[in-house]
Amino acid sequence: MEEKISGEIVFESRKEKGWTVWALSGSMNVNTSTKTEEAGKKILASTEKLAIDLAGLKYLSSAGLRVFMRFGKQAKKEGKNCVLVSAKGIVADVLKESKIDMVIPVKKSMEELD
Amino acid sequence: MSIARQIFFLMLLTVLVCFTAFEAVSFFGLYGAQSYALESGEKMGTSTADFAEKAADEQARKRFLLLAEEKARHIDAEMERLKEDTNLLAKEMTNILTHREFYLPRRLPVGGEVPITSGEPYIFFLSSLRESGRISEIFPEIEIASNAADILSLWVEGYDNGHQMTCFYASENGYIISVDLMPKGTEYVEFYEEWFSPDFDPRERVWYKEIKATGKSVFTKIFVGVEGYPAISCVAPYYDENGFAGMAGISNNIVSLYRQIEKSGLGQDKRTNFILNRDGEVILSSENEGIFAASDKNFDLRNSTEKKLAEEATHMTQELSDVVLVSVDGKEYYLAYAPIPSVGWSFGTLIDKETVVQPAREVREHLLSQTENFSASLQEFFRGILLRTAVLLLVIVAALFFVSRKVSSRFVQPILALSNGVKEIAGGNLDKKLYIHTGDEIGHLANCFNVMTDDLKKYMENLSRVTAERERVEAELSIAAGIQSGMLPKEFPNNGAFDIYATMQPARNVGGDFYDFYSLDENHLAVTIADVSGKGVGAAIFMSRSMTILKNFAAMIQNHDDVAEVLARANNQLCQGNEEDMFVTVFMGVLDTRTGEFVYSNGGHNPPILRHGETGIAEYLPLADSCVLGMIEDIPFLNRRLTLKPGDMIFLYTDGVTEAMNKEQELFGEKNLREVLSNAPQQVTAEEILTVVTAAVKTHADGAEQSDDITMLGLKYCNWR
Repeated sequence: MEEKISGEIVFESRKEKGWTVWALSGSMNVNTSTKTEEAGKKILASTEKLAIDLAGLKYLSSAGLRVFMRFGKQAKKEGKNCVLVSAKGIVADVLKESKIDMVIPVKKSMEELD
Repeated sequence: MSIARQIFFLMLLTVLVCFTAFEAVSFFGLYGAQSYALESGEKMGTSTADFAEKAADEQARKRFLLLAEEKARHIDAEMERLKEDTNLLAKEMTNILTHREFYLPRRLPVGGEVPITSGEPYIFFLSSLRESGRISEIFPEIEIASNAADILSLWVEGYDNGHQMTCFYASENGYIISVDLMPKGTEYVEFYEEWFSPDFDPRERVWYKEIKATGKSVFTKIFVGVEGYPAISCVAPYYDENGFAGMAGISNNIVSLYRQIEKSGLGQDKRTNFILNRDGEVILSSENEGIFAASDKNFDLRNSTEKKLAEEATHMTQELSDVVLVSVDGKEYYLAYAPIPSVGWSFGTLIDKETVVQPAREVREHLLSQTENFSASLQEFFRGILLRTAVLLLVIVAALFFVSRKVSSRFVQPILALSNGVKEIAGGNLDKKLYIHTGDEIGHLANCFNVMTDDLKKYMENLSRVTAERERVEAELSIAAGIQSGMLPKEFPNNGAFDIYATMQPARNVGGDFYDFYSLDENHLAVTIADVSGKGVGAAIFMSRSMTILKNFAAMIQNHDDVAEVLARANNQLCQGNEEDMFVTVFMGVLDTRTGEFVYSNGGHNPPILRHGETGIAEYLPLADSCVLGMIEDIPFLNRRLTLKPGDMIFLYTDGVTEAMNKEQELFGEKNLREVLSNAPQQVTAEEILTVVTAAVKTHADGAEQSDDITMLGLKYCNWR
């Protein structure tokens, strides 16, 4: 039942342009998604405008995708703004293929935010 | 070494070090005090001895000088008295000769003609008078002057028997009236031949001429008269109506005179006493021989070869007083001297230096002896202290040894109990309790062990329960995996119209991927590949649900080429009650086995690859943007169509293929996948292509553990008809 961790994930948060920017770095897979979801719930509860910065994210599995979708649904339910920004490479491909922007807005950069 | 022994030695060592340090400090303090006391005592003793010696010496010298001064005063008084006596004699004769009318003629026995006894007055005619024939001429004067004989007799009576002296009148006219005291054993006055010699004439004496000239009394130097003994005289002039008529004199044997002085108050002692006249000559002395003896040699002490003595003799003639150290014949003496003013002499007294120094030396030796006694007592005292300290140290060490053993044993007892208890616990007896109530860290440790034992017991019970539960879950998961695996079609038909093959390698026992294929009718084959978010039982349940829903809707829809509708209905169905926000990416296609038309729709899944049978070129299928299933209801899906040529192959896969990682965390990638498919043999079967891809992925992973389900499905269109 052991599963090797394929990568770790690191969180950093900052304020920018009135948004709480939550930067994720590393790999978001089945092993790290639970931790990411728990941390994200707290930060989402503490702000009205959350931008999840994915510039440092190298891998996004379906489990991670589910987490972002849940954030989008939760924000919509609470009337908050929650967006994904700066995704690159395979992460951006996954987001695009999954059409997650139908659940949570996806922006190419912070400049696109209001 | 056991803890008890270590504690024992530590305690012993600590106390010994402290005690030794204390003892060392005490010892050095004591030693320092001893040294200081000894040194100070010795210094004090030496200093006191020196001071006492010096003080005694000073006192002796002062006393000695006082003695000399006192004796000088006494001698001065004696000489003064002698001079006054002489003057009285002279005055008496002057009185007789100037008042002859008051005296009757008197005749005295003539010395040399009749025997004269000691103390008997007599008259003596000088040779010159006899020979001149003038005796009868001056006889009246002689008879009158002879009246002075009584006063002479009276005068000598005051002297002791044995005192050798002469009281006399020596007339200018050549006669002598005299009374002689002879030494013991001599009854008569001896008239020596010299008396009758023309050379014997007192008038020729220096001092006679001096008093005649000055009119003052004088003391003569020592001279040896016709009597044959060394004598010193005091002489004074007397007068008649015509002026100077002669001299009165008292002449003393110097020995007799000295004894007279001693007797009258100078006192007898063992010292050398002497009287020096103005010429530096010893005129009276307690000594009969040597340089301090009085003699007619008239030796001037100032010319002595003893330099210091000669120097001090000079001081004596200068009428000074002092106490000095002089050397005589190699021996040291203290010389104290003081002036005799009446005669211009100086009294000197010599005392052996040793005699003076001896008392001071005795004082010094006594003090040094006392100091040594004090030092010895002090050293004995310190030795006693050291001995007692050593004995005390031994007693303390012994006591310490005993106490340390007791204390260390008592201290270690709980540790031993703890150790034994822990051994028992380690042996598996988790019901063992440690009852150590020392109230210290050991007691606390024992409590901690008890708590740990309880926790361990609970943990082990819990672990057993969890293990059992886990084993149960594992078993259930295994069963679920088996069921899930069983849901996937394992029979791959090869009817000539198509060649299909699929594999699913779960990363965990129960994965979220699935594939499916089934015939909708005799001419339509539906193929599906999907990836449920997450893993585990939840994902498996959602997978089975998705698989069933998709299959149901695919079967329900009459228009088999409306795959998008199948996805739309399935999406809405999956959104129902999806509290956990599970979703699934789905690619579904329907192949018309007659025409090769392939209608497909995508729900957020990876784009499949079309491998052209003629060229072997692989390319990704264009996909319409569409969302994953299960998240949002009522979203549209689009159908896309393509027509497969015989030999063309649709390759479906999940992200476990393209995102397979090696140890360097590098993805296998879509480009790599496409190249692998392109490079495969041209007439490859569906199973073979999956084998090739599986091998390529495995090669890429290079032993890295599989992190996601790897699911592939190959559909090759054949259309043999």
